[in-house]
Amino acid sequence: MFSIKRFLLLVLLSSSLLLIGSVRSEIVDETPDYEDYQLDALFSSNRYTQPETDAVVSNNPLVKLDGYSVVAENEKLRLYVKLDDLSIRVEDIRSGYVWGSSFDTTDQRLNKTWRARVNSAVWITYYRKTAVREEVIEESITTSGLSTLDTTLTQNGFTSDIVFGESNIRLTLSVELTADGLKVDIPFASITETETNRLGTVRVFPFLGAVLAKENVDVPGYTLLPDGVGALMRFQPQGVYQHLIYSKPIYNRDYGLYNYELSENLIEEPGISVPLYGIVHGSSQHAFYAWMTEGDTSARIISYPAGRTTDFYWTFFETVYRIQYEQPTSRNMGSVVTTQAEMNGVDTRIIYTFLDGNEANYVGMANDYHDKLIEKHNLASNSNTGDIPVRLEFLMRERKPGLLFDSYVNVTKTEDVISIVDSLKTLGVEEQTIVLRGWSNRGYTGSSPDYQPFESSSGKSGYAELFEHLNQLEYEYYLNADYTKGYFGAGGYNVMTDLARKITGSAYTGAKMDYSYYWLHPQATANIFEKDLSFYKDNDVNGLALESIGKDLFSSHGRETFQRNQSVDKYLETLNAFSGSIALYQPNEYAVVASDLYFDVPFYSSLQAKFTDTVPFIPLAFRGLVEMYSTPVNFFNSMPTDILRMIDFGIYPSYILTQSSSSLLMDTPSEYISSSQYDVWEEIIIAQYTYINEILKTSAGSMLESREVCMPGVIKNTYANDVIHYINYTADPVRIGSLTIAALDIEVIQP
Amino acid sequence: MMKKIILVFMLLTIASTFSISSLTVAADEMSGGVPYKTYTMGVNRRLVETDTAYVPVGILNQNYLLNAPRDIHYQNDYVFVANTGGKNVVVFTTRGEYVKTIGAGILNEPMGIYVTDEMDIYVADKGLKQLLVFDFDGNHMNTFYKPTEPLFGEDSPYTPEKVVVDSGGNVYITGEGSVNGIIQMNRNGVFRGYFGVNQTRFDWRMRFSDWFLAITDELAKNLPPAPTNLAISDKGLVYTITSNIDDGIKKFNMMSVVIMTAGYTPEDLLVDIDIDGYENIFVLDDQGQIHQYDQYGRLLFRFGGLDTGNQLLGLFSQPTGITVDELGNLYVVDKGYSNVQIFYPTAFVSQINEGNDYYFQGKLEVSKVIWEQLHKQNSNFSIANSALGDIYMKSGDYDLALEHYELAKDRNGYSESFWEIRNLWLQNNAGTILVVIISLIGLNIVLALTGLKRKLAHSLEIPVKTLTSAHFYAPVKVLGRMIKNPADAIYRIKRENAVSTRSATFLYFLLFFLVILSYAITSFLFSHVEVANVNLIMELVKVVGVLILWGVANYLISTLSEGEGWFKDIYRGTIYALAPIIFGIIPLAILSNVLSYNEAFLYSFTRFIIYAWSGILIFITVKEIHNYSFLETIKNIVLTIFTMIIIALLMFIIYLLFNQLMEFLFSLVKEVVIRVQH
Repeated sequence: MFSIKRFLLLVLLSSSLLLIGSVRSEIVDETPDYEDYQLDALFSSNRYTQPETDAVVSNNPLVKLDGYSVVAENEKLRLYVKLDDLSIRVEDIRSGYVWGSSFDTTDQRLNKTWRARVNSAVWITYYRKTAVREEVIEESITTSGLSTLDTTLTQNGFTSDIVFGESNIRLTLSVELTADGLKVDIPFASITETETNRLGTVRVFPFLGAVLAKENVDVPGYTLLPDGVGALMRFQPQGVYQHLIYSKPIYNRDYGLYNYELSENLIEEPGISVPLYGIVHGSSQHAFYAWMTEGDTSARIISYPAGRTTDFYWTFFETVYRIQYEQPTSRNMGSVVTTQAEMNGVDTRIIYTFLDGNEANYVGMANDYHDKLIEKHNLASNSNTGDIPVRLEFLMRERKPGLLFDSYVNVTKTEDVISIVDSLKTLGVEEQTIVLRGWSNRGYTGSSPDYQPFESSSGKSGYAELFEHLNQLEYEYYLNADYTKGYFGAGGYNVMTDLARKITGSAYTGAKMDYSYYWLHPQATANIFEKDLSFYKDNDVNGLALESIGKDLFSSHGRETFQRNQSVDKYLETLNAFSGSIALYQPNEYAVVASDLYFDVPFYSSLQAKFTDTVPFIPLAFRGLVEMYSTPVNFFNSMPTDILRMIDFGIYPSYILTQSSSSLLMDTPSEYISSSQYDVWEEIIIAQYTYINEILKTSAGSMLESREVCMPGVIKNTYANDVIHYINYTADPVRIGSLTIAALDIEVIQP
Repeated sequence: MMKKIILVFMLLTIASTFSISSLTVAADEMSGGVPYKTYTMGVNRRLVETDTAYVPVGILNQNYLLNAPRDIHYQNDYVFVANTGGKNVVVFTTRGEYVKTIGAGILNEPMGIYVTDEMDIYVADKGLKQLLVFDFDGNHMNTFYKPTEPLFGEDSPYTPEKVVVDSGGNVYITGEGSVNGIIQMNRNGVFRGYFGVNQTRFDWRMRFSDWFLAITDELAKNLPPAPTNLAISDKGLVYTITSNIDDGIKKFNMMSVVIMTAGYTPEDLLVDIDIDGYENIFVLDDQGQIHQYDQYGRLLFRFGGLDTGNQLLGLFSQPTGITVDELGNLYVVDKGYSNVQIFYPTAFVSQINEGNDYYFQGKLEVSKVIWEQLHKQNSNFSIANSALGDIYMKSGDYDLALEHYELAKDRNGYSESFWEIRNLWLQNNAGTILVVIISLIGLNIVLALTGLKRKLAHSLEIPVKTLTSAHFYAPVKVLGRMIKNPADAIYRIKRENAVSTRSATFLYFLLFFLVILSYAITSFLFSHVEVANVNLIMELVKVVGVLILWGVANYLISTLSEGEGWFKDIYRGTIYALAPIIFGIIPLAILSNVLSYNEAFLYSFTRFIIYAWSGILIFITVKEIHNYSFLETIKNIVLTIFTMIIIALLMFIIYLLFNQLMEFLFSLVKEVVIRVQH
């Protein structure tokens, strides 16, 4: 057994200098520290993962096999179908557990419309053109009794050409049993509309895995939603709260299609960065997760809590082919409601994977998804052991608004970076990842997309010297840049041809403090980036830390429509054009697989009231695929628990540093950086790095096998190399068997 | 030709409006589990973003259903909720455990709650129109009915909504329509008078409409606004909040005298107020914003917000009450979501509280250590910088004080430390200064005695002459003459054509340039212009536009009233009349850099002289150019100003009409395009 109290002491003593405020405890001992008065409410809130119950789920009470016939079978699974409505049953042969896309609706509080929705395999909405406007109408296979199904059985499943009775919209659904699940397809090419009826959305098997919850919950378990870092929505009895529907677009809002304005007092909530959801019936007993591999760029995840219109928890993907939007006809209020003219040309493909036993939980889903990603994209999983790296993001130059001309604030020079890197190395921080932001002549904000040349205070030679030094130390270094925005006043892009346009025809803008920018067309991004490649090559730049390109995904609708899936392809092409290493800030799935480093991993979900837990789904899924770094510790607001969370989630630390005082950044767009001076941070970095490294290096290179909540606020992480981390978030020492875990500390058990 | 130009112009305008972009995309995303931004009071009453002060950590009534609760109060480790819809009071521990229900079957519409140190529970029931007292076991102990004293007034409403109780057992009640102020009763229910009455507002708009619209009731309706809620500190001082008035957050002494007014009142409806042990003031508004003030009423933090439909932890639907416990945790009750959310302060808040506390106690050394730490953690927090400035000031570290005051943009502090530094500098350099002055005088005498001075002047004579006779120098001469002998200068402008229109135009732009330059030079003590926010176009309109408008209006009026001057005379004369400003504005700006607020009068007096002088010169210019008598000139100037206003109004109306036209064309084109497309 390996104790790390010594490091805790070191951490508490030095980091308290700045962050915990031990100054106060030195002066008045009787005043409790922040961490002393954490209540139980905190650990039972959705900021933390909740303990599991040990209830056994032996069968799925909603689902019966009567009326279903087997169409395919393998060692693990058996697929049944009912040819009337194409509803399916999947029997897990290992446990005998049966999953169903529908259920017997006779005893339920459901009207005719709802019964049709539950029973049908596919449920669409469409826009019907009338003289005055277009109505939104929904239809499922059994809505009218007029639908025709032309079903053929295939080797591993079935294919059915569906003609919806009322709308006459046609599409082809095919379901195939795979080794560990299902593959469900609706090819875009198979969709046919009519003159008056145009397809809006498609939902496939929306009630697969539905759970009934009234005063009691039928089946204990949860829905996994990859919201932010990952959230669970546990099945709860109806009662205390009326929860709202969860509905979020995958990969955030498409700025090209949707208008949205957030109050200036609020912060944008984290979105969905992986196209996936999971349903667990009995933790570590029965589960499946659905992964959308086609159509994800124009789909959303919708999840209904029980009590919201029905008594069921149910979750599904909705592929959006057309939207209705308000086309402004005047600059103030006037607008007409219009339906999107061109369809979003995407296939729908959902891969369902059924998990059993120890794998049937969010950790198992993350690990399985991890393996499938490796397989799909032919990735190499990194199993480095040893010291963990720390990301040091240096701010070099920032812009400051002036009366006639903007001025520049130089807060760090290349020689400062050299001395900081060296001194941290001598002080024991051996592994460093260096990121430089604001290296361009126009400073950090407002450069995009025009980055050349290097800023003048250090100059080209200064940067060359720095890179040479870092190469000698074998530290990777990354230049921060953003090629998706065209700042007003920055060169390098053409306002007439290079802007992305909304469906309403206007360009779209954003602003950072006083500086406004346009979003650039993905094609323009690619072109501009390509022009800079030789600059990077000539200057020995082997790493780029790109903002926004992996995260913000939008369509453009000028003369030609450029849809989100095309944007993805264009962005991937852009990233692949660079031969060096790529770091991305909060990237989406498609970009993660094209990158090497993942910056600013979220620590929480959006904490909607319907969520019951925060779980580290994203860090687990991408573990080993990319190096994952936290948001800069400078911005942490819950110390020291955020440090514990970093270790719990297996994420590496990050810091924003400057040589000069951050007070120089006042009145600049970086004024939110309120503390970054290296002199202030040196001791803290060393203490925190030492603490985190000592723990994380014991599990480096191993996957997490299980994550168990011993009691609210106490986590037990078991890794594949049999190392166990006990994490105590609470302010009291905790005893587990013979083991005592100090308050706000971690115990590492090595085999 | 003209038509073509108009058409092209219109097309251009339409094209530009089409491409105007509308969407602003929020750049930052919530990654720390906090859905709102936190602001603090920055420079020029601008709220600036700062580190997170409070983190939402969960819901107090996880396992207990409340029904439209309206008020909340913390006392001795218990949280009491006025569960209005449920007609009772619910007690929780601070850990979120349900303890008990009080007043079920008795209460009707409990709107307000207060609990004393002795755990007597006072409930203001709007439905019953009573104030009821319970003990902690739930026994109904006492009831305060409507006072019967004549002083209270038979017609005065008594609908208790919010209540506090002082250590002597006196109760303070607010309620619907309690315009007379807070009802104060002693422990026996004897009415003792109204407390904390707001001032009746003098409203120009109302007075105006009273004069013109002859609606006589209006003025009578101008009653003082009623306080919406109140709180009492550990020291027994009562605080009130009132919406929609400038001094909405006030602290009273026992005699109902205002002893402190918060420096910033939120614009939204104020909902609840509570005071913590440090005498920090917490105010909640109906937009879900929580404001924390220190005991001097300075805004420390503002955070929170309304939920947009996803029910995010930390946001509200209809927040109705706030309370703070001994550890500084906040509990906010929400009528819309029927829940109580808990917020923990970050270490940042705790440090500020302690820093302030030691500072107010006069323990400067301890306080200094805390503020210095805080400054490291957040170099831009202006209250810390201000406090450090004060501390350094007291310990005589004037340079450091100046630095921190400047960071805090604390003008008074800056001025004081600047005075000290300048004083020291003068003391240290008095000898040198004296020597320099004496030697200059000596040099002058020596030069004069030896005749060198004459020789020097002689040798410069030719270059000076060449310079002064140069073409471009003529306007300079006239400017100089304007100072010495205005009538003569105007004579030259008018009769001798001594200056060209071109030179006048140059001077207009020079003036504009000098004004902008003066913004940049003027010491921040005397400048209230934020350089970064200056809009050059606006400044140009303000300086040159107004002057030209003046010229045009004056010309129009004077042609009607037998003025002699042509437009070009007025155009030229006006700018030359501003010679004092042209000559003086930059030296004045430079002067501001060596002055502190102690000598502020020097600055303002000089400025007054410069502007008044220019005013007089303008007057003389008008008089001379048009050859008016004194009275005629006054009449002309008054009419000119009136005309300027009329022209401005006309231009505004034309602008509006033009906008309407553009709007119409825009809609037309756009709609046609859409109809064609679909």
